Amino acid sequence: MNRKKILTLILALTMLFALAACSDDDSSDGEDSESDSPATDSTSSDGYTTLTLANRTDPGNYSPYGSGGERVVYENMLYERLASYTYEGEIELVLLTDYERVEDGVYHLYLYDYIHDTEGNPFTASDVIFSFEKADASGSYADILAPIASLEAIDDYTVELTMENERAGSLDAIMCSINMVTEAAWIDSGDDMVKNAVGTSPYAMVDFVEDNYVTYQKTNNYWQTDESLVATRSMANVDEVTWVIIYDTSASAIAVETGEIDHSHTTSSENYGLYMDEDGNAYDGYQAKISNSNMMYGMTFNASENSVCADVNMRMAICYAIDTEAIATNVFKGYGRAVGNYVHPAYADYVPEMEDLDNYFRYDVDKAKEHLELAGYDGETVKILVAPTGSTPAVATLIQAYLDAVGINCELMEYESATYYSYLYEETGEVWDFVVNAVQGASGVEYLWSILYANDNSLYDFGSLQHIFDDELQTLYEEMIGVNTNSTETVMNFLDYLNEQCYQYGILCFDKYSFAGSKVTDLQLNGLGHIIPGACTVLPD
Amino acid sequence: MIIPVILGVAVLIFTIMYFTPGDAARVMLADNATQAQVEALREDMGLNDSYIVQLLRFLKQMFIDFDLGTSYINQTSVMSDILMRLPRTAILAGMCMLMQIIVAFPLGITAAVHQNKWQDQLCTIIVMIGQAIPNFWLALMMILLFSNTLGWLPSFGVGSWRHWIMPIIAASIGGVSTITRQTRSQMLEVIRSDYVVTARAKGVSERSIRYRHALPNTLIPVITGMGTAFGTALGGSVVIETAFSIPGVGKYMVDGIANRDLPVIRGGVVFLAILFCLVILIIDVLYAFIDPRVKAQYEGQQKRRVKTSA
Repeated sequence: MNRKKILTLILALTMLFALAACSDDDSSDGEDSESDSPATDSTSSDGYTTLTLANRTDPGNYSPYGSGGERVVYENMLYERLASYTYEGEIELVLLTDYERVEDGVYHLYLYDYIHDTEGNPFTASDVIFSFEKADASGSYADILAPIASLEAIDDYTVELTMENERAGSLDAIMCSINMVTEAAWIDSGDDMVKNAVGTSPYAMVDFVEDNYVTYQKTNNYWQTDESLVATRSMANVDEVTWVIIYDTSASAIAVETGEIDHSHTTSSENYGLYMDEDGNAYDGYQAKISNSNMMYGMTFNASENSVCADVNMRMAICYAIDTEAIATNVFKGYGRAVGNYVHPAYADYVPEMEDLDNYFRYDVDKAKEHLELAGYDGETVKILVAPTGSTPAVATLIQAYLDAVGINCELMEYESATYYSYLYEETGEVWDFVVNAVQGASGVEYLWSILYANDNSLYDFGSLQHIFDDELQTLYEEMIGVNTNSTETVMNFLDYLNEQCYQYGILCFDKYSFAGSKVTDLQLNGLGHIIPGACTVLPD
Repeated sequence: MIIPVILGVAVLIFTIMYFTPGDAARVMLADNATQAQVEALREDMGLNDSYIVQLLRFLKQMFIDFDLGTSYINQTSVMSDILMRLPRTAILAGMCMLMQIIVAFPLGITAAVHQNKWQDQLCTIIVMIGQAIPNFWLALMMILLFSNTLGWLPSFGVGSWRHWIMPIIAASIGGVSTITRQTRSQMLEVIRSDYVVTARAKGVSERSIRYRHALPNTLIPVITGMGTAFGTALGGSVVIETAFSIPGVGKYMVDGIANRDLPVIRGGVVFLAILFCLVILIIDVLYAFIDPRVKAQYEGQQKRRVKTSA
């Protein structure tokens, strides 16, 4: 056999292998790929139901007060909060029977008088205060807890919450964000619940291997025995829930296809086509549900005099130079759309009038060039800091291409999270000119003030994160967040001024879908689009 | 040499991380914390101390207290985290080395003894393809074929021997190709040596020449390469660990770097440096078993020392 023949044979075999690997043959189902790993063991008997779910990251520790976006799915399995956001964005009480506003900034929170954690420790008003203290000490909830002036136990089951500078949405955020634990369980854990975590939910952690899997089992001693009063997030229809760690979203998409897992916490829009058609109809064997996640991609400008974006004309030139519709279509494969303001339709206080797609910095190269001329742009490099989340690198790359087309020199600054944060909070205002980021919040107003990084200049020595010192913006901001002044009008006034000054620019939002395999007959999601495993309806194997 | 090397590594990694941008306190508190809280945490963590103070504290902790530290993010011991992950990485690295022995050696020897014949050409083509295929591509293709399409093997995680088949193949293909080429070139050099010609002239069988005379002499540089590769692999094959979701040392270290988890990065690097030095030491010892000349050299030195002292 001569060399050419051998080469041809080898290349043909390689091509065959690649084609076979890429083929759409669905002849095998999940059962064929049975796994021996405890993480994917879905066997059950006598109606015992299990769910195997995948997430990209391990929580590292199971503390109720850690930081990091994706750890919330693990926290939700163990811990309850005073209230929670439903799929529809409504507030649903969990540990509270009720709450009332007794005077301006003062609230009474009434607890059920029979709450206990999975270890049997009773949960009372003092535990609420303890939980808030621990959350505050962690530093991870500074913006949410900032308005709290004091907390006092009126009796065993009533907490008086007093707020200073109460902002619209503050109470909701406070009630829905802080995990509750009993002081007794915290002390008994001996490790601040890093590994020995105990909550009041109907599930307890029974097994885990770091960076591999964690298994939760229904305890059958859940404190809320009246099923009609069980909050959606605290339902326990499934006997055992296992979260496995799959680092790569493509790999987790395959694992859903093979049936090794029932749901992946993160599914890239590139993989939506595996589970549903373009109209959003799930293929046989899958469940598809659009989530109310209000994640929005946007740009945050640096208004420091040390930045090329200090000039409003420069900021506007950048906005006009970008075709947000094209970016949305390309990056999110038809599931994205440009936004008509710095708002997301899923915000609680959203009204359609807030968006003006035809006039909101509509893609216009000529206008971009006009503003560039007004800004006196002389070819200086615009530094784009790219948040290391979601599809921001892809969005930023397209932005760079659009800016390049109108003659704006750009440099992309892509870093891992540590370096990113280090540059983001840099004090001189010289490091970046605008940030491309993806922001998400559970409610509208709370979201708005949080993404503006508190323009009241209280957080940073150098003013707001964007180096803005603008009294008019500050006034409008305070009117918008004021608990007595917040209204659609004040929100729109604020947004109008924001756009006039072009401090922030909304790029796009997208339809975020969640999927589940055939075992799940009813997929339940919360207000952030995260699965509520216990609320799902699952077939026994 | 091991002690200065490890000390050097410790100082180097500390210095690099000290001057690398990225605030561990900010990462720990994410973007919700006030500047005051970040500052307080930095003070608490000792990050505001001078370079010298932090370096001395680090070296004391490493080499006097024998403590790799506690992860900022996980709040767990770095040593226990690494030891928990090391067996998985060691399985991957060990099996890759085994693949090199059982596949690369025979291939390399076959190619050398059949130089320029079809067997040699076939080996060369296989080796070139093996080196050209990126391991992440191979990993994804194998997942698509064997997990998704055929449903034969699990696509992620650890747990049974079936979980390891694809990662080992994907991780070892590059190393097998390299060792095959090394074995071939070394073997070619050795079988042209005078002592091989002499052995042939004395009527020693070709098989005996290959395996008893030529092979041991071929092995020395090849084993050096394999040992170094094994030591490096113990540091983790991040790509393969990520593709197959294997919770190994590599992924742990990369996550530590992304989160600016300084104890994980520093402790992990020092631990792996020690491990690497030990592997190199074992290779040196192996030389003595494989090559009688090395053994004789050591024995000769010992005899000279005894003579001098007498």
